[in-house]
Amino acid sequence: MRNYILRRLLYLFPVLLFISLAVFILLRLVPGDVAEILAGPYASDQQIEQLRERFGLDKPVLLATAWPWTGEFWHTQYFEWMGSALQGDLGESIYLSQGVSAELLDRLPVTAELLILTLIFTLLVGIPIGIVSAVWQNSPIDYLMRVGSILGLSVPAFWLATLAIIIPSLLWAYAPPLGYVAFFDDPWANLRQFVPPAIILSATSAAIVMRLARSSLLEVLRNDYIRTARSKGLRERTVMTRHALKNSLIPVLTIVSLQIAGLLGGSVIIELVFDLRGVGLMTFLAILQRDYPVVQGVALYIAVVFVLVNLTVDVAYAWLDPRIRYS
Amino acid sequence: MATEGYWTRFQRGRISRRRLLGAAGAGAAGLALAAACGGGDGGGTPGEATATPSAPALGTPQPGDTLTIASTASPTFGLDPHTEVGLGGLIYPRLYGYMIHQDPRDESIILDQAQALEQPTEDEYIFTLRDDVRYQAVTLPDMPDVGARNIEARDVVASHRRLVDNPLVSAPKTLFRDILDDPEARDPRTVYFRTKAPYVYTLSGLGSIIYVIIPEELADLETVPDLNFGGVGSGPYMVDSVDLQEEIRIRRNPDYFKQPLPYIDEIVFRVIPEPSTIEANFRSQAIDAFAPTNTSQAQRVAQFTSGGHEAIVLESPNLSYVSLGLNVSRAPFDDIRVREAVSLAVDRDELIEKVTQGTGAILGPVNQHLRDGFWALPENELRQAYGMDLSKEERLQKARDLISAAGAGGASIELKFPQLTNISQAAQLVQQQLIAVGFDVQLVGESLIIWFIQTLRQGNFHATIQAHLAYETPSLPTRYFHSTGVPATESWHHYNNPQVDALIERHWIEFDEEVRRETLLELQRLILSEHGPMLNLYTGKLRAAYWSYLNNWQRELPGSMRQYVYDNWLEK
Repeated sequence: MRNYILRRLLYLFPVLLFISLAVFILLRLVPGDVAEILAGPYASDQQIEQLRERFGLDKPVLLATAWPWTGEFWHTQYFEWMGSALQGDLGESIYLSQGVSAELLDRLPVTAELLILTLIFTLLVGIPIGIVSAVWQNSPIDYLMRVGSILGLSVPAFWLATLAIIIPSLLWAYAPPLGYVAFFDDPWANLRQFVPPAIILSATSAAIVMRLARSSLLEVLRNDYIRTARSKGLRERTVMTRHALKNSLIPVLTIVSLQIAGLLGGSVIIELVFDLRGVGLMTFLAILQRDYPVVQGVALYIAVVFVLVNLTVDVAYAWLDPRIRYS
Repeated sequence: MATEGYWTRFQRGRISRRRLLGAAGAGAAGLALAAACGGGDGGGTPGEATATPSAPALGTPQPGDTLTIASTASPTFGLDPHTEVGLGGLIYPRLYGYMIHQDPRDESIILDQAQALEQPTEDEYIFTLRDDVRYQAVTLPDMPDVGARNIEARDVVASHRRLVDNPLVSAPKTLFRDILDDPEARDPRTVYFRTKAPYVYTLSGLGSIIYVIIPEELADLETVPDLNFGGVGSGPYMVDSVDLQEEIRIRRNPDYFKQPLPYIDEIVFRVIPEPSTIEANFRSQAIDAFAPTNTSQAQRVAQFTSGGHEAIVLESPNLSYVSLGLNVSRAPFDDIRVREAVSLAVDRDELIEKVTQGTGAILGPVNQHLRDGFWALPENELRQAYGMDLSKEERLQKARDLISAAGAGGASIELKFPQLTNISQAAQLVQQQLIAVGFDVQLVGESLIIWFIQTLRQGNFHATIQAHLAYETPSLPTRYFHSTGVPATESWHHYNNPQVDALIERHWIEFDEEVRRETLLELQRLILSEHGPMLNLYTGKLRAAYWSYLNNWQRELPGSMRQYVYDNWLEK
């Protein structure tokens, strides 16, 4: 297992290299560099050159016409950016007052807290309801839960979010506090900011988890080993908790892991409506403003998150299902 | 909703353009015109010598507190007065000082940090700076220390040079680069300007919102590349913290020369992209003021009451407007018949009804909200020129006939537009209206910054919906039709008409207002008969919502004037 993890961590480098190259090159394929865009059509060549120098765009993009053992070879936009990125510096934003890394670190607590709360609500609601629905399959309670899950899947989050903002404001002149308040500074204000968006985000993900947990559990319950367990005279609770539930959670884990990775990239609409300054909103605004260093930095961050989350999930599979072994 | 009472005039501490030029015309060299009450020597006391652009406020001002203003848009570039075209325009006028302002209502001059203005001849302007104005005692990261020294003439010269040299300047530089010679600092308090030829809009430019006084130490483009995250100025507020995408905080400058102004200790400009979130926070009084995005929101907000306070919603005429720009170097818009057909096909009444919820108005080449319509053509003449006196069927049939005669039936048009809420809606309506007369129209939406820089400024469009800023004189609106265009180098619409050029240039040098007005009316009639290159569509209303505890907010003031009101206060 240790070798497997090490090997997967080593694979991280070529994956990140490929992603960083792809993002870097694709961004530069867009006609006109940042300097030309900012300078406008009436700037002199010298003025555009000054701006290029300021943003480091005067250097070759990927490969310099020099031998690799000379220092000059590495003085390209990509290698310099990648070199800084490996040291934790993702470059300077064009529009933000601080570096991309610092900005990302500032936004990460918002996104992470939203993720954690969403995950808690998703798991607390989705899995128990899925189990109840599977155990009492085709009963009125199952139908009720399934209708609820369809509602959760079909009602758009932005609509729920807008209602969650407008209704309390009209009824009680209430709105969640503006500006990020850290949990340890003011827990009550923090929860007022984060609980409503987390509940709304979890409405969809809990519905998915519920449906998946239900169908997965039903499938497991039809297996021979469950029949064997029951015929041995084991109590139904033991059959469920010891033999059925753990195995049925593998597909749930896969879907939850994808949701974690997605949420770590930020949830643009929810962050927008609740005015939470997370990674999603930052990326959205950076794309609109063509703030390339921010887009590059966030793309790299999301790639790292996806790879690490996938690795964690793969490792968790082995824990959940002893038949799975990595070599 | 209050709709009356705006455009009220104020006279305290003003110099009318007629008075200023009368002095120049009489050859009264050396006659300093001061704005001190009752004349005086131009020095006066701080409270008297410069005018606040407002009538005296009722009630007793209460210093302190924090004012929170919300906006859906963030600054386009930042807080650099020379480059910013968006929200930053609400903020930087509070950070920097100005020599003068010009009131767009009557073009009178208001002295700010200049104590006197003298115009010995038609092309010379001499400003005497006040001796009691100091830079803010603030040190910003990566900025040279200014040391809270007095403003000096060399700062005005350096600011002027920065404006001319900065390649990122968004505003037209014609006046500063082509018409004015470089200003001279004759002594620490005297700045001398000379135009190469008489130019009627010189003082408008020198009193415009971008003509700020930046300390010489910060004006050097080589060492201080931009002021997007704030700078040191001599205005009533100074930078506290800047996050351009989230929140900008400015705090009271305790050394501001117009003591005891400003009253409010801190102003927070909060960027909240979602309008319903702004509304909810306004309802809870976490936000004190904002601009409702549409009539229904304005009507809803106007009903709010809380804690013994009422929400106030003001609507006032808007100096900005929306137009349809056509690239006349490309078919089919190189044919005047097609341009006329487009003008007929565009249903301005429908745009006004659907985009502005009926609160807008049609406009000619010059906005009628400017100086109460003094420079504008009457509405009935505009309706006739746009074919709005015909029935819809007649108008569309005439458009189809013109298109057919020009052989442009089914012509493919790419219509670009900046992705702003109302503009996107206008673009979709114009698309449908043009399709109705037989054009094939594809919409291309772009972010505001990309549209402005890559599409408009490079003339890189076939047709585009244009969102205009609030122009405070007829100079810029008419410049769009000049062959050298807004940047004084080339027309973004690739339009060239020597007759139009001649009339525009004639009005630049006409100091007699009545004659200038006649020239402008003649120019507008000629532009309308040319059906382009820019078809003005509609002008809307500006909406401002604020709680009654915010005193003297004066959002009804036109254009940049509202940014110079510092004597407001909060009584929560």
